[in-house]
Amino acid sequence: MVMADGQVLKDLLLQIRDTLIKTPQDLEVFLEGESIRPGIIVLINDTDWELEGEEMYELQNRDLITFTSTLHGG
Amino acid sequence: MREKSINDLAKELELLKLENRRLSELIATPTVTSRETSQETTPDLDLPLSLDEYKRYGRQMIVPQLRLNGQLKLKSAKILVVGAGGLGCPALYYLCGAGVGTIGIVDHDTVDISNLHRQILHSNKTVGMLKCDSAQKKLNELNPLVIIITHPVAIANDNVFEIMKDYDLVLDCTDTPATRYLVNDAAVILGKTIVSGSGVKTEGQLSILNFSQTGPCYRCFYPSPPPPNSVTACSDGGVIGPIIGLVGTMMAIEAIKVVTGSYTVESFQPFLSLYSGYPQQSLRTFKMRGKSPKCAVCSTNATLTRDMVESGAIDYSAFCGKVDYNVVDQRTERITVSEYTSLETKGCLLDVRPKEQFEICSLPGSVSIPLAQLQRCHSEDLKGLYEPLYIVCRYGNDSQLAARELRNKFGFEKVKDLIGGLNAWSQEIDDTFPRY
Repeated sequence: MVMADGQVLKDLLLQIRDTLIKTPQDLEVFLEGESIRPGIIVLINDTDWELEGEEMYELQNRDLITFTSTLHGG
Repeated sequence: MREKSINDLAKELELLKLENRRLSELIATPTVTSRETSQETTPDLDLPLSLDEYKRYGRQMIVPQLRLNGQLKLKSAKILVVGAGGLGCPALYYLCGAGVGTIGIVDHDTVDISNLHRQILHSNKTVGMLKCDSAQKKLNELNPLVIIITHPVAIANDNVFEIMKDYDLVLDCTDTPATRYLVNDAAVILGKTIVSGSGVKTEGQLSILNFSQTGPCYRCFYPSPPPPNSVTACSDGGVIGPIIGLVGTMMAIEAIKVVTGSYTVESFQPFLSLYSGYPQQSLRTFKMRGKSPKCAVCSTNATLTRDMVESGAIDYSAFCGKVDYNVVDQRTERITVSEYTSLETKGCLLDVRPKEQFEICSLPGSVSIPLAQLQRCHSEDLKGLYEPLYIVCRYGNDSQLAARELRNKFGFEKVKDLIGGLNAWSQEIDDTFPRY
């Protein structure tokens, strides 16, 4: 995804919301309000986003951002 | 107090019975151990293991990461495995084979034939048996030196502490968020490390929680539960047997590492591993946050106590919630399968199960539009549907959500859904129709 310089992870979330997500059903599995919904783990270059400043993390060129769901089955 | 001591006595009695059975089996098993012992062991040689144990565990004891010392730690360890299903079975099998001294199993469920593709301790012969008993039988056959204690109850607020208190390490092999929070809270309060695994479909996750009371716990990772409609169980979403088996196997590896001291408080790094079976198998290990200073159970500001769990003040089911399927009028907007068969005009029968399930079996003449697709489509996509419209799914839950969608969003009026779905159809109308 192409982002302007100086943008933070929050901008990425909103850009995904505005450009990639087509239906309300898909939106609610991703966001709750304007934040990531509980049960989704966000990783910045394979590191928990909490260690990187969460939504305020400043995106760098070639960053790999991963969104993955918590699994519960066993 | 009185009740507790009776309880303790009963437990002790059970342990002694098990010990007795184990020893009787050892005597009954023809081995060369006794001859070897008498001939080759000098009385002065104070061996920490029996000669049978040296042979049995030799292949792992000569591995530098484990060694004799690790074997002795395994032997004195007591590990509790919560859940004897897809994760628990392989974990139990390897831990028992590895010579963990005492293994506890918690599971209230009985073996069903639909478990067998992944729950490798159970078999055709043990269908209908308690999973605890089925697992114990298999594990005794594998390694009679290990004491297996069974807890054939549903783990709950009022028994979790009693069950867990005597063990050193807990493996969370459960299958719902509510149970995972419960197991976490009790283990944190009792100061136990948790090896946690999970999986569904083609993926699995693995982590170590509350490591030595210094690592993050389940609530540090997930302070709020996921919305109930985002939670998929193996029975609904399906699971590839060896995928959940791999996660259970990885849990056994982590358990061995924890018990034998591979991790120290200084060296332990919180992690979450994500295994994917498809398209190319991969294991990614993520570096995770530490303990949360705001955690409700493991931080210095914790508010959650043992009393609150035991008294039921913490309601795990309510905390995690569940999907409300009863969204249509249960009396006027639904129809039983036998009422449907006696209708003169059958109308249009819409099957809203996922494509993979429709492909397995379907009623003749039914039209397939999966619920997920229905929720995303436009009215022109539904031109093929006509009234009266009858909706069917696997169990009669999704069909209600679909009926509401068709009524509210697309303006259908004569819509009813089949109570109990195709499962009820197979049980009540046509027993040659597959249940899967």
